[in-house]
Amino acid sequence: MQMKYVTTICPYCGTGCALNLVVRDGKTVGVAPSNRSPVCSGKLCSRGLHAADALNEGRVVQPVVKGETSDWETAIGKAAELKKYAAGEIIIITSPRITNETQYLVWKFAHSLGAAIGVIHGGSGVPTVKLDELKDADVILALGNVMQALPLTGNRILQAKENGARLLYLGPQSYTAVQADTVEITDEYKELPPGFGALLKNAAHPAVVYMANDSAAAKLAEGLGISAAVLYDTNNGRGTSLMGIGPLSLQESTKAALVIAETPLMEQDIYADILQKLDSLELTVVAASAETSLSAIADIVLPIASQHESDGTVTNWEGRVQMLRKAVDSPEGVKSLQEVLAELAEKMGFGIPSGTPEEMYTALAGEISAFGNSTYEQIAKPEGVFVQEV
Amino acid sequence: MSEKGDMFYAWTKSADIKGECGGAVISLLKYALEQKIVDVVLTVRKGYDVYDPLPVFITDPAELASCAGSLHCGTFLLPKLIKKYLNGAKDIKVAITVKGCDVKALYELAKRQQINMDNVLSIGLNCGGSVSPTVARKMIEEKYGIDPDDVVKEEIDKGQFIVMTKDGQHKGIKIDELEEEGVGRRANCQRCETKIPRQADLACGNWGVFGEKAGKATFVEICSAKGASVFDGAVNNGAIDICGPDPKGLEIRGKIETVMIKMGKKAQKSQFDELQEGRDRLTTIMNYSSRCIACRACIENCPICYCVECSTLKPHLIDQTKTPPDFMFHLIRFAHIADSCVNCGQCQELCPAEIPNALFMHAQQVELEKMFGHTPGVDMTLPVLAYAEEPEERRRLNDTGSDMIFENVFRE
Repeated sequence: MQMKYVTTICPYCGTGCALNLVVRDGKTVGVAPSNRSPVCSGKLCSRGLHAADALNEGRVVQPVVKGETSDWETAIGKAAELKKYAAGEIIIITSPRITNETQYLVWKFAHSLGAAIGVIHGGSGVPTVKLDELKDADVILALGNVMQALPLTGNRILQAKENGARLLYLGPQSYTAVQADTVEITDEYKELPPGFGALLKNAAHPAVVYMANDSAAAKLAEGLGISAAVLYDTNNGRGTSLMGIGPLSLQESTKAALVIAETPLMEQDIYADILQKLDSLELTVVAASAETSLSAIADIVLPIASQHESDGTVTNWEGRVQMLRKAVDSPEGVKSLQEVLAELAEKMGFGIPSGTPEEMYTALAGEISAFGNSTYEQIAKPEGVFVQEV
Repeated sequence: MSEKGDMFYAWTKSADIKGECGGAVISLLKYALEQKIVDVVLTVRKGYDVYDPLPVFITDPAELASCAGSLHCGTFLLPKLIKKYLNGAKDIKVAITVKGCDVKALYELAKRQQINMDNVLSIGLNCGGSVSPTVARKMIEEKYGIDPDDVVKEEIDKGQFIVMTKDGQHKGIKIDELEEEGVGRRANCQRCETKIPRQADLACGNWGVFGEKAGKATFVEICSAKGASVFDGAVNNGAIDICGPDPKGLEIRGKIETVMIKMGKKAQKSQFDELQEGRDRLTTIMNYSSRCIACRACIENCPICYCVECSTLKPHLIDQTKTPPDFMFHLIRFAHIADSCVNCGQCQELCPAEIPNALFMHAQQVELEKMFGHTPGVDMTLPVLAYAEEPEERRRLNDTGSDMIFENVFRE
């Protein structure tokens, strides 16, 4: 019997809690707290507590071509038919849940191809406050159910309240509404209710908290001119945004798509809204670690390693770059996203960078200046490293 | 031949083991693993730094040397790992190092048939309390004026929390002083009265090592026949060397324990007083509990929670769609656990909603102990709720066709 703890980052929301995966004989069998984490001090929410099996269910272990299981050579060959399309006809749809290093490669892939790239369920916006600084706010405005979406970020709001802060809430009936001192229940927020403005204006350290994919909230928050916690609800939404990868927009001219998917258990189906459109394309190639609704409409499915099977880094909403650590080997027949992209690029007649996660981070840091202030080695410490303002 | 109640100074005879005080604990574990008295050792090793102790499951005796030394930021509880990942030691023999709360948890799990104590060798470690890593780092930065990254070692001695930096600087601050300012040991550690874990097979520590052996030997108290046999074996095998304890040392050890237990009682009084009484206490508990996000981290980490079918997951008792959940969620936990709470603090330390769960539970436990006389974690005496074997009891209740507790449980 071989048992060990592997310290890594939760695959769910953008708070970036560290956790220990309990690995027995090469399998993830449980989650244990990482009390050392400055983000969560060992605390985890219901999703983090289930991180061990979050990525093990419904794994794809063999390439699929037109609904039939296939071999890698055939599948990559078919997928390379993407090259038949003009650059303007291809879209790369990436996931906000892959590491900074692999996202960089997806971005390079799109760039080399001249194709458009967009992230689904990512978000945009630059936070101007750090997680722990929320504890020191004296008036906090929450737009929407932010405390339930990112529970360990909600933890800092609870701590602020314990320090005497007043919590204002605007949004639908929710957990956050229950916690708030002043509540305005509404399904859409266009303007601040009377009284909220004065409370924020008279506060010494006001802050507004909202989700990075909530454009109505962003609009409202912008007008306030106060510290903003812009919460990305995926583990690398912020990193993706920092690379300049914006929200997906599907054009009429789009005829083919390469979709990178990584969806842990219990998460909503983020592809439901675009499924019909993708189904109508001439060619849809999906690289995914597990079955999603995409499997039903994909022409080709390429099985890739999950987060627990990869080394790399992710960026939480506040811009803290932290280390993901490989806990287990991939099932047989599965390749890393990096391998898949490299093979596909080669078949299509171009090249993308290759190397270890450390080499890829160095390349990323050289190209995207937000990441330029840190080395892979520095990120290994439990505090991680904050990206720099640019 | 040693027997229960005997006390010794013990130290390693191996040059490779650099223990905290004589290396006796590591040598005893190594002996047990080498002689196949146990199959696996569950203990703690430094992770990234001194603030990052991590549980380790060791099967190779050579690896044990890396576990030497004490780490006061180790706030976790080990016994539930035996239940979760080692099948309750039902088919594997385990040696485990235990603090006071650990050994009490071990007994409560064993009472509920979740751990087979016949297959467990427990080595108790004196514990004056632990400090959460995040608190330790903040405290060292703010109260000590030292960069927490520069600290290479920490210890608790003579009522002080002392840190040593990489360039040899020592700084200690009185724990009382730190705790008055809201840092220092975890609140549950402050309330703790189990300083020398005599429920374990052996109780080890540095308290009472006096005279020329100070810093070079471990004080060992034999607490069971199993402990005696392993200890004697290790002596006969040449793994450890021993001598009788200095009488002055015995006295010092007794004094330290008495003082710390007094401090624990004092902390209980002040913390429980703050909770107020009666309706006011209930209001406080309800207010805090309304922050609950129903993540179940308290249940997941509680050494008393073990039910296959958890009542808090039954829709007729708790609406599963509501967050925060109804107060019934917490009432169920109180009803099921409070009589056996060992004050390990996990439900509080790991609560994302910062609910002082352990304080609430412990406050109720001391009252229930007065009423029903059950002291958790000291021996194998069962509390009322642990008498039943869950699946059998559920079957029996189902077969009666009635959900009346009186009918089912109390009527002859």
